[in-house]
Amino acid sequence: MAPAVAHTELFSYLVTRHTGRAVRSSIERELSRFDGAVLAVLDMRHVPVIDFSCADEVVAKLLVHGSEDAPGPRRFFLFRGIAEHHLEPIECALTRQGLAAAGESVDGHPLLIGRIERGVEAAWKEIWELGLVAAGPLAMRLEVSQHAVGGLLDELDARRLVIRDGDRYLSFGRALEDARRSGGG
Amino acid sequence: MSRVIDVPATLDETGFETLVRTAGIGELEDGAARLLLDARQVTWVSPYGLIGLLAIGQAARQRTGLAPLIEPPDDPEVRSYIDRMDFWTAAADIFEMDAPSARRHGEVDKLLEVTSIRSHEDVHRVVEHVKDRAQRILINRLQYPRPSVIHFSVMLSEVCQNILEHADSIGWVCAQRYHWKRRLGKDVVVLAVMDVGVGFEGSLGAEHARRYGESWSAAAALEAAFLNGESRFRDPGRGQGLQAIRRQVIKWNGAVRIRSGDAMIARVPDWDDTPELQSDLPWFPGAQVLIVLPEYAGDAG
Repeated sequence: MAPAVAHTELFSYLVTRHTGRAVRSSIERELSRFDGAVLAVLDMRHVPVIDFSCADEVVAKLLVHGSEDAPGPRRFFLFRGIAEHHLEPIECALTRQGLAAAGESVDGHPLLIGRIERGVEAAWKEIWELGLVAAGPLAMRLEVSQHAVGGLLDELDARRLVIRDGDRYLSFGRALEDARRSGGG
Repeated sequence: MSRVIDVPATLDETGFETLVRTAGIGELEDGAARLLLDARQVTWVSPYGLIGLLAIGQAARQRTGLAPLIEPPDDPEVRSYIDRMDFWTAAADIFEMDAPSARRHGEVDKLLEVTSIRSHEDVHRVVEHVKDRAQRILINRLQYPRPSVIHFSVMLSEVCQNILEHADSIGWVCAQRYHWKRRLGKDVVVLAVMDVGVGFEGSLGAEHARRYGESWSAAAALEAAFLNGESRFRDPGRGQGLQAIRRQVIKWNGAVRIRSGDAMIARVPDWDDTPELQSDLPWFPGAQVLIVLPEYAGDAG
């Protein structure tokens, strides 16, 4: 079942922990209105500066609060419009806590930010390209065993970097397309 | 009755140490005489020295309960510089003095005039305000690449937030470009940030002092924060700010010094000879940060 989609555009200078907390609270309030799974798309194209404290409050803490261990419906996050100057603070905030986030650069390239194994990242990119895929075909594409791909998919699923739908795995990009087509995103 | 303290003629980081030692801030207590900072003989002042006057005034005020007095420099150039850096607006909150001077005309290569930091709104104002000047000075004068303006803004934000997050006190920031003829023969940007709050030892003590036992000190606290990214919070997301500043300063082959309590820790570039750690300085409350960024010569490391 594809998740609902919630878009948030972030503006202006994302500096100070105080501002970060306020931004995160407002996003979490918005997301709490959804009963089921939701894909939150946070657009950072209009953020000229993000500092390390704000990256921790907005990006890392959103992921922690929306993680597998957190109560409530599943939440997925996609950070769009990531420019070069956003990368270091976000990467640092995530790496410090062993987290990873799905992103899209300003020119639309998918990227994983934070701490991630190379194999897991390769699987994620493949899923992004294919849109929707089951373990078998993915194992063939990656040229790894079914067992190995199962491990990669379990990790992507646990870290909420793909959307599991039965025995298939949906990329955030495809989820957005589907939502657009059905008028929900 | 006031106790007169002569402000050194050259008021930079060395002059600040002399002043702290002479004023004996650590020994001041309630009922002590009012301090009069006599700056008449000052002939040169850096951003660090300038906000150092505010920090010493505020520390004296906190410890004696009396607003200190200040005699402005006689030198017309220094007076004019201090006016243009808007020193007197912040000083009026600390010293007993007449209404602050309104003269702020003329341009110095200031990146940021003396600005008080009391809240996160102040940090926002500073970061947004500095953008155009940082662009002009870092890119046009010091040949930094364009993204450096953003990195500088982030550095500024993190170092100012340190006041709000750890000091529980008012602080000040000031930055300027000038030519370091004698020390480096190059243009530099100097950024100074100070507060007179609880300091690193006090801030990190509750969380870390027990682990260190008797070796806990201002120097140990500075090492924990500056080198290991430890903070007073258990939250693993904390403690990144100083680490980020250190990494960025290293990339730009700059210098950073943090003084707190009786200790100072530094990232020392090849052009500087400051000791990396000192622990025998005269005690002074809060934290005092000095960042020096030399002309750009490529990213290191």
